[in-house]
Amino acid sequence: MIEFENVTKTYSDGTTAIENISFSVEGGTTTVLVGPSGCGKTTTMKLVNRLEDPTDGVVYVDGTDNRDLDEIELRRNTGYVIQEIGLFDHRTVGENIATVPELVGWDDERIDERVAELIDLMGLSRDFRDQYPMELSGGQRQRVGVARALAADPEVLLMDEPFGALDPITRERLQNEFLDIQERIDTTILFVTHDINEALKMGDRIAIFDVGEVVQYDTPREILANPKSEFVEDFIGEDRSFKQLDITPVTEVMGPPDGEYASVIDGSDTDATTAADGGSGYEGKALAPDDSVKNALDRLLRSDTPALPVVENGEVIGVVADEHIRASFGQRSDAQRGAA
Amino acid sequence: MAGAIGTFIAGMQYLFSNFSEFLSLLQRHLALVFISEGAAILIAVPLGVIAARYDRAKGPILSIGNVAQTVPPLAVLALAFPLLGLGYRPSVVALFVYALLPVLTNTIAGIESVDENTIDAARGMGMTENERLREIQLPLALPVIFAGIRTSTVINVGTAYLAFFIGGGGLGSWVISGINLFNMPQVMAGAVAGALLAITLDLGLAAVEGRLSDSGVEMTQSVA
Amino acid sequence: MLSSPPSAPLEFASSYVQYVVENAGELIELLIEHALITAQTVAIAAPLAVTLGVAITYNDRAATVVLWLAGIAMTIPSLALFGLLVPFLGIGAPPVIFTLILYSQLPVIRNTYVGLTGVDEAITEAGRGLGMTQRQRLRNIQIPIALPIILAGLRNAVVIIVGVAAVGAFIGAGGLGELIFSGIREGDTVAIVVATIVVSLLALAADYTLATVEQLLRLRNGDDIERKVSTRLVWRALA
Repeated sequence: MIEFENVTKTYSDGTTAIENISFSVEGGTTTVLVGPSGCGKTTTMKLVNRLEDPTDGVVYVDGTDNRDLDEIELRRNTGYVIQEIGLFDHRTVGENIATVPELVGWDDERIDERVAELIDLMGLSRDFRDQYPMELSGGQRQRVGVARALAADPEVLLMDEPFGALDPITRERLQNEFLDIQERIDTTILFVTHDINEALKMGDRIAIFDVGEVVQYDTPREILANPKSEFVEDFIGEDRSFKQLDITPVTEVMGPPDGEYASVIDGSDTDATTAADGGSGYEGKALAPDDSVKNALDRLLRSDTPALPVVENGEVIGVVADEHIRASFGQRSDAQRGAA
Repeated sequence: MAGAIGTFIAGMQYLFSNFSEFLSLLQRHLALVFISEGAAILIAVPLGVIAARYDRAKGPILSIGNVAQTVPPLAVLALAFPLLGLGYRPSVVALFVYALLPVLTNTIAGIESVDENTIDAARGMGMTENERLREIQLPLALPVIFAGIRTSTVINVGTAYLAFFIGGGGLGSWVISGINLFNMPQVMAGAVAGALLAITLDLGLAAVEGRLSDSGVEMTQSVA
Repeated sequence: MLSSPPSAPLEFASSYVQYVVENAGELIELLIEHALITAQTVAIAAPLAVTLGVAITYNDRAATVVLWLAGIAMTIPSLALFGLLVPFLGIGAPPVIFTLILYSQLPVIRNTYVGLTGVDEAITEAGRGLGMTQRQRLRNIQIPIALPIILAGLRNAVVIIVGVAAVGAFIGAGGLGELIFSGIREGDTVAIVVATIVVSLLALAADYTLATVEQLLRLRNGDDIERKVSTRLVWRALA
């Protein structure tokens, strides 16, 4: 767990990067620090592994004021990934990944196993192990960068615009892969980006920064549903509803499978229930439970049926139609209005 | 330390009591340096410009040039003797040959180092090859070319000392005959003068070089 | 001997061959002497210059001053420097080695400094973030990356050393310069030509060897370079 308590950072030239910031990051979750450039998000992140020290206030790592910790040891227990990647070009991919385990003195066998494990985890070919970083593509290099950061099994992983320098297609692929990896590791992740879409996608929680301060710290859904200020609203952009659709799973809006759309999804085809795996009737129409509502809407718009089934393990568990999406959003904003 | 200062003072006394001789030696030294260097610049810069145009020529010229620069200066001067005989003219020719290479390689390297994008932009604006050379490549390469001239000139001042061995005269005469006769004030006088000459030339040329590269930067910006 | 008189070029060439054969012992001796002066200089100059180059990375002002001084030292004509030192160090090897050390400082200090400070900031930042101490960053990242550049500076210095050491023979330091000077004194063209060729070959050989080592270091660092023949051979032998 990481806790920022009234933290201020002023540089020696007098500029204040952040002022009186307080928020805490729950262990094992991913927290994204997002905001325009120069807002202090990177500085905030660097306070965690003491690449910067606060001018005022305290940063607690697992309940300890991190200035009481040895900075070198702290950094070795903290993974660190940067946009420029910073691979050691004079060392092979394997040697790069082994950096921290070697620094902390693991034995060769253990390092060897760990490197192999990480190369697999990152979906890299094992042949890369003895190659030099120069021979790799940008996406592959950043995979190595992430593997290097995770090598000594750190409790905290800091990522500063890790996918920022990649082309859009590679970026999306790496984001998706990293979401998978994130589920398999029990690491507290602090992720810095200027891209709100990336923040909404990657974060369990998001801290939105305006110049030097956190203006909202919430879950992605809460931020989309209830932006606390005009700045946040502007930062999210005009297509807020779309973004909301994008992060809401269909299971949350779907209606019962035996309701008024039963006939539509039942139809004549009795094998309909196997449709999810592309068997027959609903080919290209059935939704999986973790598909987003945005996805559902897109397919509804393109299909000639008024409703789509949601299929899990070959069984229709619900149905999504235009009205479900509308109703659910209406309800939700009503409920929120009620709560507020 | 006291000894050092004593020798230095004795050297300066020697210099001033033999001032007219000193002036003629200095004059000869400067003649050796400037005539050989001037000729080297006049030949090497155009040659480099031409060579830079021909991909097939510049590679070999650069690599031969770099290899030839490892030949010691004493070797170049000594070889002038069997080929051209003793005296002032053979010395100038040897110094010219030795001064040629740094200027030549720097000219080619300077033209080569101009950013491809800048050249592309110029080409896109419809500049001919000659216009690109005159308006873009040469002005941008000038600081590098001049750095070669500076290096070459400073080395030349030192190498010209060795010209005395083959009868070329210059400040080497005081140092060399001084060492032979163990006349330390004379050695000191000849050495200090040359050292000051080299340092002064270097600083002066560095100042010009600094100006050139400033204007070079401005050029780049206006092109980009 | 031959029944018909040999042609002029042949006679010309044979006088050189004859000279080399007759003086092989002395030539080899002087060559070794020359190489030894060079090696002694490098043994003192290289550690000194690298240390200075590392030290000035910690202080910009010191860097400016040291590089400026080393640059000034290099502009002083070698013969003048010998002349200035003879009153204090006498004649023979000491003033020559002192001069050579001074001359070799600039290329090595400068390349060490440029090599170390030129390491991509993202790389040192990553090293810092991963918990490397300053010393570990220097030893494990900066120096290995800068090593080929440092070696290029040393190569530059060695070529200068071999050349200036030839002049050193004039004040009694020995080496191949001796043959050049005696050749000039006695008007012995053959001696001059042979000696200048041998000293040039020594410089070229040193240059080529160090260039090969530089390439090997680059290859070890994973750089993609156009390999010399020698580099390819050694690299394959090591693999």
